[in-house]
Amino acid sequence: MENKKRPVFLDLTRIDMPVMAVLSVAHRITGIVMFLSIPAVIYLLGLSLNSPQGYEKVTSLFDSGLFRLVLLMALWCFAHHFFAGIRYFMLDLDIGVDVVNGRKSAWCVLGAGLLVTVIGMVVML
Amino acid sequence: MCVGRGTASDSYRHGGDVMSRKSIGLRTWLMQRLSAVYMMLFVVGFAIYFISNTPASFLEWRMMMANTFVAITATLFFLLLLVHAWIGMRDVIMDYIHIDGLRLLLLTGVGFALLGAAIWITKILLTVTV
Repeated sequence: MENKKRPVFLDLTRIDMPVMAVLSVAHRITGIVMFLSIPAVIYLLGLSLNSPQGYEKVTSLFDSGLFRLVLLMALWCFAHHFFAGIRYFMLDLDIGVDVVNGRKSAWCVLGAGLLVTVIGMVVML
Repeated sequence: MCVGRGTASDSYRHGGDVMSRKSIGLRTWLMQRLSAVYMMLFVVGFAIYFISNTPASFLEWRMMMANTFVAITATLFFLLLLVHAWIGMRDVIMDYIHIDGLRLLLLTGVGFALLGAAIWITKILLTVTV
């Protein structure tokens, strides 16, 4: 079964990356980023529930421009992962498996993720 | 239905002769989707609830999270999130890390980190009292 002589071509700069592939890679990257941010989320949640001082500390973070930027990036990661996940559900149900629709839905996911991020940006400003 | 249209890691593990372990890939595949459904419902539901009742003080925030229904659904959300993260990270590690020792080290590290996170978040969410 293992054929060690199979040609391997993994030059990412020269491989054709259709939008569905970009989406798949982004699904993994956003997942890893969210995995890495789990401790920070739990820490801040715990701090905000622990004491009035902790609550003040967490809410005052929202005054910081840098924190808002991080929050927006996190929102983008989440929204992208969320909508790409819905797309995978649809593929599991054999909806839009063909190239034309697969491409369309991939663009919709990218657009929806960006749209949610822009809405978040407007709300924060 | 394309059940078990798997990740590369699934197909490595179920490459033909290990038929008896076939259901393991299916189970994780299903768990990844069931946890995703719950998380989607919780996030949308909680977001709507939070926006329509935005707490304005520490006490209000604490009261919101001390509510039994919120505490239980939120704890379940985080536990399923950690399961989801485990399956996702496991797939990614098994796809890209081919050095056995490093793979084992990363899988073990991620596993213990997620287990620790589970205990930490459960303790936080289930001990909120008003």
